[in-house]
Amino acid sequence: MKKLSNKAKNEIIQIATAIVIALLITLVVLFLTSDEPIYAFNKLLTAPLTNMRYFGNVLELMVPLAFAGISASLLFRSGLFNMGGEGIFYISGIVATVLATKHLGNSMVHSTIVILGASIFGGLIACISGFFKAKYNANELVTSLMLNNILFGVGFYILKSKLKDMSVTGVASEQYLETAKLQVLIPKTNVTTGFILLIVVTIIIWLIYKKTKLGYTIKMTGINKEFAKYSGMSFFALTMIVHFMSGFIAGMGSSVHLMSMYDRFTWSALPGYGFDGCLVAMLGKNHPIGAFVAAFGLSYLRTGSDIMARNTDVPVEMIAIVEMTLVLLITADFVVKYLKRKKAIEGGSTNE
Amino acid sequence: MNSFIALFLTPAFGYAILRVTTPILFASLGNVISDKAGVSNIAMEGTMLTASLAGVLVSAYSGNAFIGLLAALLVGVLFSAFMAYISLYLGTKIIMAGIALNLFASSFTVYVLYMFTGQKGNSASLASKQLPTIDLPIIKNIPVLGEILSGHNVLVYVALLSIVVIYVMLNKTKLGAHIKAVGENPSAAASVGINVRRVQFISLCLSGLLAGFGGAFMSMGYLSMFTRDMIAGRGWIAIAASAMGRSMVIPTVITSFLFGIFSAVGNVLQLQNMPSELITTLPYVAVFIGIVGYSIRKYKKEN
Amino acid sequence: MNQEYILELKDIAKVYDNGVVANKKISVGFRKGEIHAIVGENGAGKSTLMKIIFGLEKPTSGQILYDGKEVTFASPLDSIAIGIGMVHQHFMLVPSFTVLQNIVLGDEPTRFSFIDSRKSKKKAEELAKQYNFQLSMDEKVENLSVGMKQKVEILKLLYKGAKVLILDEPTAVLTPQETEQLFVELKKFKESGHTIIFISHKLNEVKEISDRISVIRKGELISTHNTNEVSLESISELMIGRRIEYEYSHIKKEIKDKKITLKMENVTLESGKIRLLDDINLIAKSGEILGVVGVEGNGQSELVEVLFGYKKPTTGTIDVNGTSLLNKKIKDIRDQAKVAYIPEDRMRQGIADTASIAENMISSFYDAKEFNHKMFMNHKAINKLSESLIDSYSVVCQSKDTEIGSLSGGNIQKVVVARECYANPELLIAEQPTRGVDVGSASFIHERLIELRNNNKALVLLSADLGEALAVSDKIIVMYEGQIVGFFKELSGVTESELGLYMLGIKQQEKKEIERAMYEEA
Repeated sequence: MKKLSNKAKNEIIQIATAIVIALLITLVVLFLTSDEPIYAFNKLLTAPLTNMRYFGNVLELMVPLAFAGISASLLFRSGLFNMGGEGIFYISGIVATVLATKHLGNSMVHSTIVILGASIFGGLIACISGFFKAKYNANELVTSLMLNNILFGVGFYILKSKLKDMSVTGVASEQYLETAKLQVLIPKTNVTTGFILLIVVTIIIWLIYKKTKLGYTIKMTGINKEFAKYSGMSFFALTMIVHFMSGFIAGMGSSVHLMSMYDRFTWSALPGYGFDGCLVAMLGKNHPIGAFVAAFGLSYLRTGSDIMARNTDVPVEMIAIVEMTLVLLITADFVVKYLKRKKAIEGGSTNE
Repeated sequence: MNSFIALFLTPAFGYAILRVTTPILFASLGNVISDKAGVSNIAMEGTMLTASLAGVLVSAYSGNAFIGLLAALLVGVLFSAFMAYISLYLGTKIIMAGIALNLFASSFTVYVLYMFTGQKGNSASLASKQLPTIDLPIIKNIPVLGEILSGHNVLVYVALLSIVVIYVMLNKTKLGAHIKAVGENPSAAASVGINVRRVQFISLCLSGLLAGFGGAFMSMGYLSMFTRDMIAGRGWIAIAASAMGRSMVIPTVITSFLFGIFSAVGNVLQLQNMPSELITTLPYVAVFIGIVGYSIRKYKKEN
Repeated sequence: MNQEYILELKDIAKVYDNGVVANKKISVGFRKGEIHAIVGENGAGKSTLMKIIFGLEKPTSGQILYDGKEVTFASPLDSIAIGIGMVHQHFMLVPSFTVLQNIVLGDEPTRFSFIDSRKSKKKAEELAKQYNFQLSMDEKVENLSVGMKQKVEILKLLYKGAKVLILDEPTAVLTPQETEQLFVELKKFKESGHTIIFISHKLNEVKEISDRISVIRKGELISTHNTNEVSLESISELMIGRRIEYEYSHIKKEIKDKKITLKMENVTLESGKIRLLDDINLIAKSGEILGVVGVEGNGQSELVEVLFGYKKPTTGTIDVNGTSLLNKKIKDIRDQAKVAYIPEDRMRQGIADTASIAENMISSFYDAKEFNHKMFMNHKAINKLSESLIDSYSVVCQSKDTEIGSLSGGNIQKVVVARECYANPELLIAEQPTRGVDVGSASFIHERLIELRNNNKALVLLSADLGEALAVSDKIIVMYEGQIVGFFKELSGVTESELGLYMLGIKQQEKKEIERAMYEEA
């Protein structure tokens, strides 16, 4: 146990260091560019806690981020570099929109159909890259990036030609039926039952990692593919399953987000959640609970910076600097390496 | 039907192909260099974006397009050097660093743009300069060919020239030999005293330089200003092009031109009331099929 | 100043960051124009010492003198500049480059900053001619045979003006003819004033080629001798120290109801035009350990690859207890045919290094009933098994949750052996099961293998250590150029040198004779 807690300790030190450095850099940037740096800094960090609506914003924004993050982390953990979450978010959103604008039952049933439909569709779409990777070893990074743009093109075409509500200006689908939308949990926010679904998914994935053969296979394949093969694990089956799960969760994230926050489908560009998901997965060290926490943190920062932007002269995009610093410092292994080396040197000298 | 085909037989179409291919060509050649050295630079998109903004800002404030170009190149190199430092020396996986930097560039450029102009959408309020176009002597007088080849932005010719330069660099110079050796067998390179990390660092910087050219072309040639997320996937296409060209100069150039042709076709078809959303996916579909087809062939060969 | 030596090491010591001591105060001198062999067992510290001489590793303490002057190497660049070159065991060549490009790599002559190969080509060709190397400078290295690649490596060093050539196990990958040719060349270098440091553990070769021999054992330089003054036996004793005579006959039980477990018939494996396995017919019986020996690269690893489903044989059949292994997935070979496998390269195939010991302990049977409880894995059972195996195999570690990659090689290997033996296979393939493992762990592992044999299971043991093969096995086959050239059903009286003759292809038994003997036995 001692060794393991050591590892955890190192990670905590690293994450803490990363956060401190990121905050310091933020402060420096604010001093350089803002007339009221301390005020802005204060807004950024504390505003989301000042009223329930703001905090609700944090929670509602973290939902798609967390879904996308868990989706990406499944792939990364298996050693697959697929970034197709972006396109799946879009096309599953289209599927959800098709379902949500039709009468398909009462509240509970309709929203379930919408979410399941979008999720299953997302899972199947993800299996395209998955299949070519598993069977023919086609580079999943490239195929998934290409698919992002193809799916967007197809989805946008469907939106414009089949789903568009002619009575409104701009590109938007018809209105979602009330029965399709998710029930609000916290009044005056868009925090819906989708948040509960997120918690359930997080726990299920955590259980899969921790307790099941599938989770075990994912971990072993991710660490050493050659070893997994030697142990008799099927790379083909695993790749397909993981891709399906990943697409399923991305599709779910997309539909939950739409059914919580939107009245119509209005995305005329890729939404960005796929790439954000990669970021979240990295920050969360490819762990579902890590992704959950990272999504919360990212959402908190973005909400904070949004409030800051509305109250000060600092634009919201400033937050990119903080995000990048955090990601790079948390994914770099120099802190762990440094601690390990220090320990090894100390250990070595006592051995003499 | 005849009139439909005629749309593609105009000199303007040939001219458009060159123009559309140029940024992709720069970026994919950049990728060839880094791939050859065994490091994949997936931050092309972000590098080009940042460089294109730098070009616009500096040209506007200096009043000189070429100083703007220099700034774009410098920023391209610095951006890549930063990524190289983080991944080669601090141990972040280079793909992770690339993803993070792309996202960073997308917001950071808007932030900087806002700081300078108070606008978040584009740099229209700045009096930024455009790089000049060049009429090729003699060639410009040849019918058809002249219309296709002459009168382009100077960077179009730089792009064409860089095909040769990079081919020669990789195949005829010491640096090129070292880059290929490092990518193919790093321990062999190290055993004869080549500093592997340094060569990889240099390769990434060179790919950043090319991305700088691509970025500058976008904001000071293709368009005459910076707009938010103006690279619009060209960096990703470039990665796909060099993947399809298996990191070899000539096949990558051919793939880049195929892309250019598909994009140009798309642009023409859009004007013909064809569904533009579907048509813009053409180049992506082409690469998808190309990559998968190549993998299947390789798989069949091995089994 | 002692000008007797061109290169001299004084009190070189190397302690790695993780506390492993690779070299302890080694002092040795190399004369101009001599072939100086460095011998020692695997893991004795030869490679580290050579890396220090070549500038790939920095010594923790000690001096290196070249031509009487002290030198320090920041990188191989410095040692190359001085005139020291090394031919590594794994060739340091760029496959897609031509011979010439590989030779000039790192120091390409340029003209107006372009590579100018006219002069270098002439120089390289002259060198090749001088030493009678039949090499075309414009051939791509990937098209060359192993022996030719080695020549490229040597030519590369000569081209760079190396006076001292270090050759790390140069004959391990060569055919006997190639080896012979290499020795002729080495003697030529010696005559032209080069110093050759020849690292090997093949004593007969060392005896044949070298002028002096230095013996390294457990990181220490034991002694240096003139080759013509010492016998192979005494060198061998010095190498091993207290000679460990593995002796297991007392624990091998008499097995009554032996049966044929593995049957390979007419198995051939072709890669292009090369026959890696050439009509292999063999039988392995339960209650027996079948040793497989041969010089590396004579088909032993391919034998394992077709057995364990990594490669499909071009022709032939393989059965284990009547179940055909052809076209079976590894999963089915493990579960249905009940074959287990201790791989040669444990870090690459045998473990997931950042996972825990417990996770590595069950990888071969993670989906077995006893470790699963409905949907979930039964961590209680897994932990219990891990703890008991750690205990019974005396794996030195903090706990079952320790990252396996942080253990020593011997302890990692114990985990692999524990796992594969626990699978209770009908057939266990053990490939170099004790390579790089300390002596204590090695005999422990041997005992476990014999235990499995005593439980009437079949084992195939591939070993480069003939002492091990002779002590552990019940029968031995010798492989040479993809064929079985010798079969020994009775090992008492068989010596290492006898096996050596077969391994080198000097002696061969009749193919029919071998098959008859094998089947007759059955």
